[in-house]
Amino acid sequence: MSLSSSLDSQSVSPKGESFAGGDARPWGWEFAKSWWLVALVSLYVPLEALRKGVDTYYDFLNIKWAMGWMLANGDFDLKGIASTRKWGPPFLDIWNAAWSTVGPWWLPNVVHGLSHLLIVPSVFVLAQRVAPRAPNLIHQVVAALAVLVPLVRMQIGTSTGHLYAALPLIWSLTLLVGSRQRTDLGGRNSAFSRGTRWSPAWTAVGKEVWTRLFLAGALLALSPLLKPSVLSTIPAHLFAAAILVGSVSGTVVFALGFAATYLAGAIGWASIVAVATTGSPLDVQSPGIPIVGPSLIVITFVVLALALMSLRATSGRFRLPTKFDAHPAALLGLTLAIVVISQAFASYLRRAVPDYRWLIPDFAGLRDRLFHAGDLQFGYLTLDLESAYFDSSIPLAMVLLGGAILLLPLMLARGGDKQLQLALGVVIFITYPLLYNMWATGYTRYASQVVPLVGVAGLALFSLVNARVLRMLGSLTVVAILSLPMLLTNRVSAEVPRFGQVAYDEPIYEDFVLAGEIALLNDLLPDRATVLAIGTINTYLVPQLGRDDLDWWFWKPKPDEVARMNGDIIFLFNPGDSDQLSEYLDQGLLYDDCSVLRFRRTSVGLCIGSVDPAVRSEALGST
Amino acid sequence: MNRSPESDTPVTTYPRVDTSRERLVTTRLTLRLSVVVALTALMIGGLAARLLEPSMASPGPAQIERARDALASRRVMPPAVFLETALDQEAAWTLGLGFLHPTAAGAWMSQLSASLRFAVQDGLTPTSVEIELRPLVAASDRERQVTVTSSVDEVATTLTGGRETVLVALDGDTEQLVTISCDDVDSPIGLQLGPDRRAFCALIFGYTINVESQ
Repeated sequence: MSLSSSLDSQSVSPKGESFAGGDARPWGWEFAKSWWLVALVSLYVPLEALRKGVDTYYDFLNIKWAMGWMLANGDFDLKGIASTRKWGPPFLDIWNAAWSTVGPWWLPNVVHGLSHLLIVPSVFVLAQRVAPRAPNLIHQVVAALAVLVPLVRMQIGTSTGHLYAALPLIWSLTLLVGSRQRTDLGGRNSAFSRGTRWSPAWTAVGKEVWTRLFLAGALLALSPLLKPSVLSTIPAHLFAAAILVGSVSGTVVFALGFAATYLAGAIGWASIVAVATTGSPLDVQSPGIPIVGPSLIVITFVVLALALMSLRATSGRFRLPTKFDAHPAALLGLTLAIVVISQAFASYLRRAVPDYRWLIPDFAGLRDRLFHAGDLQFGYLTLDLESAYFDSSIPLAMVLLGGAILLLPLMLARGGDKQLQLALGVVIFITYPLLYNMWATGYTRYASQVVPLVGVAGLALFSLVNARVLRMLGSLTVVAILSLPMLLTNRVSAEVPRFGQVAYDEPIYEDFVLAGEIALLNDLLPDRATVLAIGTINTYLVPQLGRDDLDWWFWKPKPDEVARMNGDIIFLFNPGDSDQLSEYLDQGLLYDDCSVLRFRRTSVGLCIGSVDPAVRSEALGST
Repeated sequence: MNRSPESDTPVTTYPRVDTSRERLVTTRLTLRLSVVVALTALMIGGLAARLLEPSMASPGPAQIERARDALASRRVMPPAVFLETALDQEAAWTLGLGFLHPTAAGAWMSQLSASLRFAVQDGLTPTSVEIELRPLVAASDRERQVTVTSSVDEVATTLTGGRETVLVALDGDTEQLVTISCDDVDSPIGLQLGPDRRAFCALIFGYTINVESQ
């Protein structure tokens, strides 16, 4: 079978070789046969989420739970608790906080597990579309491995958010691939081919493809809206989308779909914060966007207007003349433009990197990082993640990316080879974000939402091989490499610890802080008290108390702010950080009668505070 | 091979494709419906969760007083027995500022200074306390200067790595505050003893309160 005929066959029979049989067995049997592993692993995901016990993800306990709860309650004056984070989209933090606050420990686990299980069928459908000639069992195994590889499994049932962000990413890629195949269904002389004109027959398909591309971009935007750190990988996705779409207009509409949705969500939220905190929407800012203030508002409106106009357009006036639209030179120019923009964005991210522990200083440092498998190479050190891990996904992804890059010149030489474009686009869409993010932030987790898709990238690359035996061998190699951490169980991190969980070796099957403990703490916090929270790991108490009369401070107040404090003052702190108490003396705050509540899982220090009379009188004198 | 009616492009067709195509469409519809139902359920659940969040009532003065009394009673310890300061032990409630959350072995002192705050029942006169501890020291330099202070006594000692006991006199009051001070703190990773990055001085296993004979 030639490459071109294989492309046509995939459009007609996308279910794969093993499913194309027309026997008379009941539909249920066929469904069970084609989905049994997907169904089993989908069932496993919420069970695994429950098995992990209460979610003690450090960032969630320390910042995000309280932040999500406070923002949901209209408290934008976070006073030091990641106060800059309020500008970013907080939707997932609010979601996680709501589930953790409302019920028993297992409720958020079940919710996260049910959400995370959607990855399995989603990857299955994507694998079918990307590699229709691969056997159904391979599709299913790749879908199963999407959640079984350690970097993903350690996040199942936790509030880290990357697995939530993975879902719209998968759906976006599925739509992109579907759009590409749909243009091919319209015939070889589609608008996305070189040197052709728009035919009347194309218009219906073309309009649908146009909408699908916009929707794919919009879905991609949901990913950073759910998990703001995903924004650092978006240029890499756009680069791949340009290859995958294969037309300048198509890429622009995809980017427009992304930009309109992201800006509507992110800047919409940031405007609310700006109004609530400064009284004006013009003071808007959003993390990861190097433009602030009125310019950002103007850009948002322009993008939204363009998006609406492009969606409502009934003719092809927003599209380039077809002879330019898919011309290799135009595509090359577009791709290079995206590379330049993404490089500038990477430089911006490297200057503003939040955590220098992982930043790679130069390209020499990048080499080692690309091909490590967690602790496999570096002696169980937490090289680029808080958790030690052994996962072969990233080295495999880098090899696949290398293969795709080597094939790029071939794609340019064979301008109309859609199968090649589709496969390379898919591989780059999945694997390049890992490399890009590694360079931009150095922190593997920020790109871990693409890890469930690495198997699909492998299938995509080997789908280019026409010889069935080689294609099968390639697919099996991908599966074998991804399965390595599950086979080499003698390695310590093959046990797959829970990602970013505070130091608990064994799962906890009860609330992190018991109801009686919260009640005791509540009884020690007077009505309308000012509570100065000091040190790490105590902010999770805020939503569990659910008190809106308390005035929480997560940063050290200035002397003039101290002078204005009235009523009871309570210092609440991690007893291991009690040395920070003395710093408050300099601000005019005195403390006395300190106690430490030694709860089952955590300790909470309490002191009764007061304002130094000298500071108050000095402040009053100055006013 | 056939030819497309709108273009002269050859298109491969398969004779048995209709049935599988139908199934595929049904499967996809089922999947889409499942995703929509799951997402809708999650959204409704999320809204409900948001609306059902609990909120505790502010305590009145009497309630606060009772809570403080309850807290004070947790610090009353029996004399003449070894009181472990490990996780889930009653004496853990006497660990004051400077101690991390207790472990199964004991409580790590994580700062240059930490305090024990305990009491004995009325009528008893505590005369001294013996504190058992083990310093975190490197293999090469096994010395840690520790000073234990009460209101009437101060004992400076050099710990050398094993489990040791420091005895300090008490003033006889029922409520006692004993302070332990270290000359330095180190992290296991810094001393190449383990991966932990937190800074420690010593691990306190527990203590024994000695009282005046009746």
